[in-house]
Amino acid sequence: MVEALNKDFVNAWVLAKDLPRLADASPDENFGKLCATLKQHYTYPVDSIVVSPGGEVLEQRSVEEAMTMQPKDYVAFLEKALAAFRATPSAR
Amino acid sequence: MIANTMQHSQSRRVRSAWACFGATLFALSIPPSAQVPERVKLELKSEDTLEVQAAWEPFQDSVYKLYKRYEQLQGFAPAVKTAKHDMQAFRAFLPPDDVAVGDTWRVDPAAALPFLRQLHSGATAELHHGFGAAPGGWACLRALSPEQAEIRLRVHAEFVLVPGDGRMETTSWLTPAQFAGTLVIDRKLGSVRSFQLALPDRNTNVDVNVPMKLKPGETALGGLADIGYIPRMEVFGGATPSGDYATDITVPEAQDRLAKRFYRFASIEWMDLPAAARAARERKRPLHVVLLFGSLDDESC
Repeated sequence: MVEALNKDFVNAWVLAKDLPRLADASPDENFGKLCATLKQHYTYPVDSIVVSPGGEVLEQRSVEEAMTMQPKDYVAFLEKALAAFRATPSAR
Repeated sequence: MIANTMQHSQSRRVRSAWACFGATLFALSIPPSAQVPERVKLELKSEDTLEVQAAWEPFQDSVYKLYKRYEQLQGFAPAVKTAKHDMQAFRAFLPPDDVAVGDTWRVDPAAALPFLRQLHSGATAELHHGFGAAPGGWACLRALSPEQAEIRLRVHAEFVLVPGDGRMETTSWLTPAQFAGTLVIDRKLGSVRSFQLALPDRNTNVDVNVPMKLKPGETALGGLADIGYIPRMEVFGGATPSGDYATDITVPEAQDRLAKRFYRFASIEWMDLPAAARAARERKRPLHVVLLFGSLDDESC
């Protein structure tokens, strides 16, 4: 799983409370939109969200699902997100 | 009351989430340390003592501002500002066998307690969060020369601020993110040149749990949780050592090796969010973001 995350994805973790500050500190309008999208989809306390480089949400998992999730389930979550990404224009 | 119960409930959910990431989502084996040719035995034979000072500043911020309402979270000051420690106290941080630069070894976190009790007498190596916590201690030989050796330390410990019966309803804890340390040894004299254990300066670096304040007739339903920022909490002693070494790895590399000993998910290549957003566009890859209430890679959640 780690190999797939490092090979096929770009990975970040961020405190939800820091999203407004990060958005304010960036002159990049697209980054501001990304922060707004992430904050909008955050459900507390831990969420995994996969977005396209253009900021489109591809998949999301909340902690409530993760607590009962096996490693293979998370792999399936990532594979589903990757398949959704490959269907977007930004993958080409 | 509802809000208080929610905070406690949410705290448990956060801790459970961490456990998930450690135990299931990122299951993988830990890679062996890099091999380098020169292996040495590190010793502290001197009968010298080292004077160690303690410093502790108050909370500057937290999510729920509990530090403004609870006395046990105010007026932080070192319990013992200055104390002398003999070399025996530092030997516990040394590797049991010969090591090379970059090697890591396990350290009994109890070895840090004589120093951390200069900050607060309630220092303990047992983390009350239990499942989901990453207790313990690790060390890494970062740099070596014929004259001196620099060891980097990472210890997870916490403070029982108000001892109760161990339940959330009666006990107050302060759980720092980690204590990051440096131990520099004079190899010729077999003594400690300098020593430091410090809470890293990060905008969210401590977790607190306190009992709820009850009104007459109310029954406790758990405790309250908060995460916050303490700008300084450290013990330190000795002189600033020379930075000249024959062999070394960088400080971030040593920190990364220590982090991987505690957290399997540390093997994922994480970036900060602005850099990751740029990289996703440049590499045409999807962006995998973990959004959290508290930090992923330490104990301050």
